[in-house]
Amino acid sequence: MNTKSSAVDPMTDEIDIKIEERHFGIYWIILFGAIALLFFLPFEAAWVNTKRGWFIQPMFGAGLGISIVAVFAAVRVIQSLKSHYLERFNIIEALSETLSSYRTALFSAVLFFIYINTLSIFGFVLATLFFVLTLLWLCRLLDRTWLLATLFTLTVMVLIFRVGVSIWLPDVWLYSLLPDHWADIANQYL
Amino acid sequence: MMETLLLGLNEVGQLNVLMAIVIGALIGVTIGSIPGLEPAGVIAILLPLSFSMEPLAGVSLLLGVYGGAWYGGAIPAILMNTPGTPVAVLTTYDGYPMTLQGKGKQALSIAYTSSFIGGIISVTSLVLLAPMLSQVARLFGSAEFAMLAALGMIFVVLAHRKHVVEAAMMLGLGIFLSTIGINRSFSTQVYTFGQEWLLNGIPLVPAVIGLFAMSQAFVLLSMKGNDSQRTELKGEGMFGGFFVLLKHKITVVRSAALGVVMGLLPGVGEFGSQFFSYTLAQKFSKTPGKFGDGAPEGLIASETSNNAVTASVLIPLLAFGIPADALMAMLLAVFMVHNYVPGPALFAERPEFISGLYISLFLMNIVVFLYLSVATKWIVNLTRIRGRFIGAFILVLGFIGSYSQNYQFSDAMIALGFAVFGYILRRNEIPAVPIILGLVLGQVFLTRFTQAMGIANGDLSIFINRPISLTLLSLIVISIGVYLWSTFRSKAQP
Repeated sequence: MNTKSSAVDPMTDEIDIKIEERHFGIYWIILFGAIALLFFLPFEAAWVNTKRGWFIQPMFGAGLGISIVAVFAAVRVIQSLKSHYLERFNIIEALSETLSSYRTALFSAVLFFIYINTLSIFGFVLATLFFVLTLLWLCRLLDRTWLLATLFTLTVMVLIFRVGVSIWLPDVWLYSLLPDHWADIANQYL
Repeated sequence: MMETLLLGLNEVGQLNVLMAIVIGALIGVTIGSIPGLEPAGVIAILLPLSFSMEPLAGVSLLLGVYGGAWYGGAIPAILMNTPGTPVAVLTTYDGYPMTLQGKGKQALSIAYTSSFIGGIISVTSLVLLAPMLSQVARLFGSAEFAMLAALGMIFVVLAHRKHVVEAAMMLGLGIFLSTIGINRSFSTQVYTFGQEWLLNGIPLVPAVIGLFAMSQAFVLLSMKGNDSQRTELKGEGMFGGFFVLLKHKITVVRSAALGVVMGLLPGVGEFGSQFFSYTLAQKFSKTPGKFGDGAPEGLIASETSNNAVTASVLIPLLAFGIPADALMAMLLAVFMVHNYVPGPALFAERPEFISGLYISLFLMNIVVFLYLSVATKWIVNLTRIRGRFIGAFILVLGFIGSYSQNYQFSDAMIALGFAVFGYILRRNEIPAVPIILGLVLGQVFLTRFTQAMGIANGDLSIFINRPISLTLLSLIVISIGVYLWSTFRSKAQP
């Protein structure tokens, strides 16, 4: 007799419930989002006079897409209601748990946003160096080995994308402090 | 025939195309051999770069990465029990036990040779089937293309067997996103909320980069501790795989055939072919009990079938313009940028491109096979690179990829938005692939649907009055019916 499969493991059950809860939360958000978008349908996809049927109206495609999202999100939401998900749901706890588990991604996203905005101030090389080193430092990976690896990889990237492929970037504020001919070279390659 | 072949050779013989094949293949093998780094993300980053290249060079670069990654994925699967790519999961079943038995080199040789044979059979099937099916496409009008796009979308959803609800939801989101911007038929704005940057719609490249590459970077950056792994290459017989394959000829042919057929079906691809061929190999084996304990037959079945998909998956794209997976959707973008519209006209007007594509695929398989046979001892060291370091640079590459197409920072912001959304999807085990297919196939469906309605003066019966359209519509109904029936049946069983 297989005792393993018949035995009830309370830890496993608890983990299953947690996974379910996390999953259901996102379906609620998606359903609310879809309903909000459906509300905007008459305003954001105007009705057009045509004799070729309502299904070629501009709102048809958008409405079809959002309706599919809403219907299938509703399937999971109904499942969550059946499993009494709302009775166990604590919005503050759920928010703090979500923010905590997504913190690395959120930090990285904020840093990426700052990185994009600093490109026209410090230039590709410096902005990328700051960005990567900050990420590595936050991930506790910044030591001599990875600093050298970063410098090497950055040099290769500059050679490929700025020198080789010549990807254009707007003129950089920092380089405007340099003499004109140096600024031109820096703007072109760095 | 000979003339077309020579034209193709002339195209492939150009230095930029040859370089693209070699560089693409090497990048593919490299990313395949690093666990956690997915080829879809890297292909998304390379996508804008390929737009600025000659059409054949650009396509060869992406296909080189795509094909090379499936080969490289076997290395960590066999040596570390960690699939380098998601499709190398079943390679671990028999590959890793062989490594534990001191036959690591032999397992790798079997995997490379199986992949090579699978790849070559797949390219051969592409050469034979694509022109034939493109002639069938001549019979297609707007109604048929609309139904084919709808069938493709249904297949993509149903292929996510355990996540059908989620896949359908994401497909709907993709369809919705494809409608944002100016409606071409009536010149009205759809869901732009008065924002100028939305007038041209949601750009595909930043969406793909965000969903696949940058969201993966967030996953890698979230890793804790020492995620690098040391591997050792032990055993003998780095070139003996061919002789092992000779002993299992039927398994090779069956797995390759399954891979080719599965590649034709949207959404099924490498995963479906791998599981089917492994199961069948075990069923027909004289020693099924050895499967999972280092049976070369299992390794052959897994590796042959997943590489047999790599070229056959191109058939629906080339013949009908219908991408079977997210990578093919990206490839379609390359075609469109160069005004190469897939379908029968492409075969008639650009025979040198088609022929060149076939030859470049053959060459790619040869380059990867030779490279792996010689350089595996160095490639295994790539597993020592930390995931967090790779993650940081993927974000930089994600910026370059999303920005460089239109030189607009707003595209990088769109990519960031999709990255965060993609990360949330990953955490909640919701598939992101249907979003991209909804974005591409949704647009095909809606455009063709509108055209068909214009032809039929708004009469929906056009879809059932035309035989091919009716057949495709029936296939849609049957597919959904079979899925619902099997779901209810499995639920009814105690």
